[in-house]
Amino acid sequence: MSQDRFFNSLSADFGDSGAGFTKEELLGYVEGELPPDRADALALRLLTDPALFRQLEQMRINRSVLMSMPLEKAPADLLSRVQIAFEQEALVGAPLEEELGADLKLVSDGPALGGMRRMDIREYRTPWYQSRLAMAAGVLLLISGGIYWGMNAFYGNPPAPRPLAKAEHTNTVPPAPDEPLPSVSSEPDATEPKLAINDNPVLDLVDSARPTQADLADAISLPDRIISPDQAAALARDGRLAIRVATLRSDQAAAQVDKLTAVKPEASRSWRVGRDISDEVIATVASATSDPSDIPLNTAAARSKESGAGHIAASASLHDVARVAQSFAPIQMPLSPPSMNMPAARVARKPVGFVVEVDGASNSLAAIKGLLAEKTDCVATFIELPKAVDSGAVTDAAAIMWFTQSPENWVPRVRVPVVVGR
Amino acid sequence: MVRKGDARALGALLRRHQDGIYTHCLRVLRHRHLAEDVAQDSMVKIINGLDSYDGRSKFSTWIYTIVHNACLSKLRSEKYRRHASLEGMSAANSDGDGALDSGFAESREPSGLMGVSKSEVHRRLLAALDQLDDEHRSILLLRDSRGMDYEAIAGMLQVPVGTVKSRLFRAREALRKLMEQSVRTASDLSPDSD
Repeated sequence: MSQDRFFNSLSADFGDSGAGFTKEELLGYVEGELPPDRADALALRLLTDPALFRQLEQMRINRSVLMSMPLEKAPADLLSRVQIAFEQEALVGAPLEEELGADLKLVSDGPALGGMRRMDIREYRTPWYQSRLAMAAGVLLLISGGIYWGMNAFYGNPPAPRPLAKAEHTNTVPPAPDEPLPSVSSEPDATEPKLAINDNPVLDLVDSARPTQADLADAISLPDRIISPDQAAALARDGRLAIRVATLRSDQAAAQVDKLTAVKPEASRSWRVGRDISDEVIATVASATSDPSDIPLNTAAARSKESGAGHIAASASLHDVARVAQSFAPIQMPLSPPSMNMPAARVARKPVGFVVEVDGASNSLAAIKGLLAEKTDCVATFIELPKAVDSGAVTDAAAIMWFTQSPENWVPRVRVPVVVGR
Repeated sequence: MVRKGDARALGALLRRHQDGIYTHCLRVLRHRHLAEDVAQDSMVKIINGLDSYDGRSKFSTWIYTIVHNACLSKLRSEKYRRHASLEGMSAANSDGDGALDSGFAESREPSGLMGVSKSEVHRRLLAALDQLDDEHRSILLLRDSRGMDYEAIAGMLQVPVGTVKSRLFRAREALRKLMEQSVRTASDLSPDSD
């Protein structure tokens, strides 16, 4: 018998007996919400029908068991995930959405997320025409290649283009440790082909902006030691932690970091980036940077892994790093048409300082460091300061969305200076 | 206080409701990972939607409306996803619908629900709940586990109150039959039955 038929037959029985109980009243009886006079009448009716009485009583028992069922314990990190997801959603809706796309991904993938499974913020549906455009591009490429090779076979091989940059160092055997590093001059090689625009040599004009070997070595210098996130957390609590973003293009990198300062507080509650940092602190952080000559060998790979950025290929030694950098130096020249007002001597840029406020947990610090590296496309490293610096007072935790844990479990917030520069 | 932006009050509120929200998601969806995801999404929606709470209903009703709608949405998307993935299989297999149902059932986690329940009655009731269809299970959970009144359920499900009552009674009857069947099966399997 179907449920409906059972229910209908039940009502029909009552109707036949003259009791006139409706479905609603039967439900009210089960749930204890039937008015007393109707409840008494139904009870009398049920005395004559033990089977029906048993069925309704079973429903009452089921209801009471359901009501007394204990709650499941929510996962311990649920509220942490809620906070992170909330910030992601808030950032997606922020005015800087387009510019912060890379940051969102990094923050969502970073170790601070603590077990978030779903990394995607939005699911983008591929437009219908995208696959067709890709196929058309492929066909065009095939046709172009065919034409090229056909012309080549018909007219003979064209002369090989002269290389713009000498890169033979990358394929040579590394010198012995005691062999002196080949001298590298920032002066342009007379035999080196010069970049020309409309047959006008421009290399001389832009050479003033060409980074020297010392610049490159400085830009990619390594910290004295690798500071783990746990060590960073301990240093941050003592006020002796800083983050250095090493780059030759400090203006561009600083501009990228500066965008993070524009994120609204309601969009980013667990971390904030500000510019309220004193020149004294910037100078302290800048002076704490390691001397490249003290860099231990064979640490580039570890540094690359530790930084989480991996923007620079791992090398066996500083010599190799310098050599690789020197071989790539001409490629890093500005290729834009030169300005007539370009100064003859390159202006030394001051490092730019920021301050990051975040909870002092190691995973949060690591995530912030990764965020800075991803945002600036540079290497970000933890720096241990020789002495504690005053980076300002932290925000009251209760004033921000800091509810993912009970107050007794809150991690003290820290402010970490960030210096962007060479 | 929460609507005025007091983060501490908001934190206390969410901590108070997180177990209930998660439990409701788990019992409706019957899948731990899905329940965690939906509970997380629901709580974000609650935070984002605090300004839209007009106070006409109880706050808990407002919360569980959001949570339950998120659960139903997830149920629909999961079924659609599984249906889409099994379309090819159903072409080769004549009982494609059975494969759909069994595939979804296999992905659920009845053992997890059973494991946390101490009493045998709880275990049997949860197992019977698992066998109910989504509509009946949902309305029973809203009424009995969450203690919502008919009007709130009607508003949540966007059906008349009378429909809620009749649907609820059918759900109770279905659950009763399943429980009877469970008891009968258990008695058949017990050594004393010989």
